[in-house]
Amino acid sequence: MFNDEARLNTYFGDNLLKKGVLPVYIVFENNRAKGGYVLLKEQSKFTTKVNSSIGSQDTSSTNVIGNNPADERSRSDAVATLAAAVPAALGEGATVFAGAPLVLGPAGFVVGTVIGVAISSYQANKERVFHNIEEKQMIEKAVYPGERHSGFIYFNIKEADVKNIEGIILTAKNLKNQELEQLFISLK
Amino acid sequence: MTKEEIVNFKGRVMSFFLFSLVILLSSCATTLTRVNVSAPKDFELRNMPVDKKIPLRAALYVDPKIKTYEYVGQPIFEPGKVFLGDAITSACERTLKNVFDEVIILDSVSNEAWSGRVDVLIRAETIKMVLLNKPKKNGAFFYNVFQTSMKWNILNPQNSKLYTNVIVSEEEQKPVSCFPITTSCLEEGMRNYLLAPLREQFQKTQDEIYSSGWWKEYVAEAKETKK
Repeated sequence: MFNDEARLNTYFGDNLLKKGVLPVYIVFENNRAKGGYVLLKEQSKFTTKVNSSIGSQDTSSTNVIGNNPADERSRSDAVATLAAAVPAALGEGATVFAGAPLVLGPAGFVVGTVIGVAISSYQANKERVFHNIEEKQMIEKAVYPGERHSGFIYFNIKEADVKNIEGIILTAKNLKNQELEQLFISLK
Repeated sequence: MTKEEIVNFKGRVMSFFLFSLVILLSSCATTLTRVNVSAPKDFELRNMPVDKKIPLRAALYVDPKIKTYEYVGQPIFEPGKVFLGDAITSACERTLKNVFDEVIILDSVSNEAWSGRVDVLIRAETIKMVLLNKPKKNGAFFYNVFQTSMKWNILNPQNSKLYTNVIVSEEEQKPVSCFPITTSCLEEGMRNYLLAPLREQFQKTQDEIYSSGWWKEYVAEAKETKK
């Protein structure tokens, strides 16, 4: 769980938590003897404790912090995806930019570079952060026995609510029988 | 300094500025020049042959969006657009033929088109190519990186996914210099500029599809069923 400002700045170039995005780094390893699995990140949830069931996989006994912290028992809005959380946090319309010219003569290279640097300085930070987030996210990938896959999953959460998180429930799909399996990871 | 030396000095400074201005103006003209080119279908891939091919018959379906894909360069920085659809489609085909026993090409993804004829359907679904500007590790300099990502799905005849992956590759890009500036130089520059990241992408695609355990499990199960 990346909730430390220095770490967030190092990895993403910004304190995402202040913008309501909590990155959690997941390493997904298949130690089963058979069968491929895909982690369904859209169905990942984080939970807070209501009663004494810390570490329980029974989601009915847990709360998930949603967009409405006033209603801590609501967990319907707690599933956060990159698509939903990040553009909302950073502002829509982030685009890719290039900071140096491509096919130019020598002087054009200088001119283009100057323009590139100038443009970069105006729009770079937001876009760079967006790309850091995008390229570090966990992508959909089948993981077979002995294989490992990793990346960040992003949750939509208010900074003040982070201390209430007990753990994360991940859902993985068995590609052979299409069944869903839930895994609970304690973060305490 | 004598009067004559001062005049000479001024003349030299003036010539230097005039020369710089000409270069600058001609370069500005270059940044406005746009070229339209097609990448060659038979561009060289750097995929190495595998030790033993995957003993499966595969059908390849390339999404129409990939078949018609063209990369449109950003204004000022990338002077033109490159039609890449044929080159990518051909690279998909050549890469899979490098690792599978048999590959047939499909125009339609309907079940009738492939079931019974092959063991698996391979779908190349999306492609995204973006030029990124990244800081170097020391933070002092930036460099350009071309990031290419392609989504692949492999299905069995029952239409269940056996394998899925978004393969992301990166290739550092250096500016291509054209001096004197000619259309053919710009065209060649743009072509090579996009083929380099595609080579990296398809090498990685081959490595990822071949090294994953999906096909070993599938082949073993097929043998069990036959027994």
